[in-house]
Amino acid sequence: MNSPQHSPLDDLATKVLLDIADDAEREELARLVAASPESRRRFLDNAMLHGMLVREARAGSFAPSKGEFFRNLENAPARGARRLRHLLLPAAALVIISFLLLFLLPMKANAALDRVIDVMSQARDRTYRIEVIEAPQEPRDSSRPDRGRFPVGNFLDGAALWMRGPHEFVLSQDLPNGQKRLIGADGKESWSMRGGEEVRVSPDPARFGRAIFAKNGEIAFLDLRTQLEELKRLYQIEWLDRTSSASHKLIATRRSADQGGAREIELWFHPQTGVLEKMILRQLPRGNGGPHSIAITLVSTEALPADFFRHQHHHEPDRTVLPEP
Amino acid sequence: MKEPSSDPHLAFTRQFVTALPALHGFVFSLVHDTHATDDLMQDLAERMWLKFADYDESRPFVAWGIGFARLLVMEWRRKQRRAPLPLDEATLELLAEEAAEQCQGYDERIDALRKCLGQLNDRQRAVLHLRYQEERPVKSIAQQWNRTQMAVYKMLKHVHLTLLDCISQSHPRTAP
Repeated sequence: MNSPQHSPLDDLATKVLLDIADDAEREELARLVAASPESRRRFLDNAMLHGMLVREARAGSFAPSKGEFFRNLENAPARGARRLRHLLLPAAALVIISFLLLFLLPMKANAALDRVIDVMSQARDRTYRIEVIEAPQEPRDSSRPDRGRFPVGNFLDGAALWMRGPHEFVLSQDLPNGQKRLIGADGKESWSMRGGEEVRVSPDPARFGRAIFAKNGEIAFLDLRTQLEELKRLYQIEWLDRTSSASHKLIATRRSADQGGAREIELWFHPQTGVLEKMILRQLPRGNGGPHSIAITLVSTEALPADFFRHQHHHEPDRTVLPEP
Repeated sequence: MKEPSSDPHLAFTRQFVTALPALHGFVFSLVHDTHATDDLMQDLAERMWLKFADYDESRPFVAWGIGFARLLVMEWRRKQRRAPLPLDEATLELLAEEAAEQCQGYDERIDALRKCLGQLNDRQRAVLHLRYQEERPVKSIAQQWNRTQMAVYKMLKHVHLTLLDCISQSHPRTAP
C-alpha cells in the first residue's frame, strides 16, 4: 500500500488514542478540534477507526492463527454484567441475552471486586505470606506496656497467614527473642500463644485479630473478607490491569482522608477463579505502630487439617489455657 | 425499526446487538478510553432496556440509543478530573453531533475496514494484534520488539492512516 498523506492533527490524534501524548499535545489537539468542523471530522475519523480496531481485535481478526484465537477465547476472563443480567432474568430470552451481553461487555471494576469477595467468602483454605514493603525508620510503641514487648504489627515481615472462612485464621510470627507467636481464631473464639507459654483464649472471635491495625473501626487486614466488603463503601475501585493472563489487578483508593485504613490497596486475583493472590496495602494507619506498607501473597490453596484453626492443633494437650472473660 | 416480537427481552437483544458496534463507535469517539467505553456501554444497555417500553419503532434504534449515549458521555466527562482530551462542553457537543452523523454509515465502514485489513502485511497485522487484541501499551510492544517507543508509534500511525485512506476510497464521503 502507498504511503498515506497525513496532517499534524493525525499525529496528535494517534498519540492521544494510543495514550502516549503529553499534556501539551493533548491541549493542542483539543484546540484544533475546537477550531473547525473539518478538524472535528478528521479527529472522529481517527477515533472511530481506533474504536473499530478495538472491536475487530475482540472478534479475533488480528490473531496470527485460528488456533490462537480460540485459545484466547478459552483463556479470556469471565465477563460479567451483573446488573444487566439481573434485569433480564425472568425472560425465556435469558440464555441468549446473557450469552451475548456477557460476551460482548467486559466486567466493571466493582463487579470484579464482588467476584473476589464471593470467592473469599467460601470456606476454602489459603496460605499467605506477609512481606513488609515499607517499614518505619524507627518502630515506635515497642515500649508501651499495654501492648507488650513485641507488638504484633512490628513483626510482620515473613509472617505466615492461613485462612479459611470469616473469622478463621492463624497468623504465625517469628519474634526477635527466638520465640514463635501464633494468633488465631476458629470462627467461635480467638486465641494467642507465644513459645511454650500459656494459651490465651477469648470468646470474641475478633479479639486477637483486632490487635493488628484495627482501631476505631479501621480496616483489619486479617479479616480480608470484611475488608473487601468495606472497600466498596470506603474506596474508589478502578482497574489497574485486566489484560494480563497471569493476574488481574484492581486498585482501591481511599475516598476520604478522614477515614481510617490504608490509603491505597492493590488487589491481584486470578482471572478465571477470582482467588485473591496478592494484596498490597500502602500507607497503613500507624496508631498501633507497625509498617507503612505490606504485601500479602498467596502461597498455597492446599487443604489444611479440619481442626487447624483451633488452638489445640498447635500445642500439646497439657498446655495451660487461660480463658478471657 | 423494532422487529415484531412478543418477547421484549428478545426484541431488545436483537436490536441492541445489531446496534452495538455503532453505539460503541459513538461512545469511544467521545471518550477515547477503551475501558471507560466498556463501562459506559454497560450503563447504556441498562438505560436503554429500562426505557425500551417507550421506544418509538418509527425511529432508527441506533439514533435512539445515541440519545442515551450522549447523555451518559456528558455525565462521564463532568466526573473526570482528567479526560484523555481536554475538550470544553460546547466542543464536545459539536463532536457528539458529528459523531452521531458518522455512525449512520458505520456498518458499511466496518465492511470496508475488513477488506482493507486484508491488504496489510504480517508485521502490520502483528502490531495491531499486540496493541488491540492483547491491549499492550506502545512501550511494551517496543520492549518486546527491541525498538524505540517512537518507532512503534510511527508504525501504528502509518497503519492507521493507511486504513483511513483505504476506507475513504471505498466510501468517498469520509473515512470511518
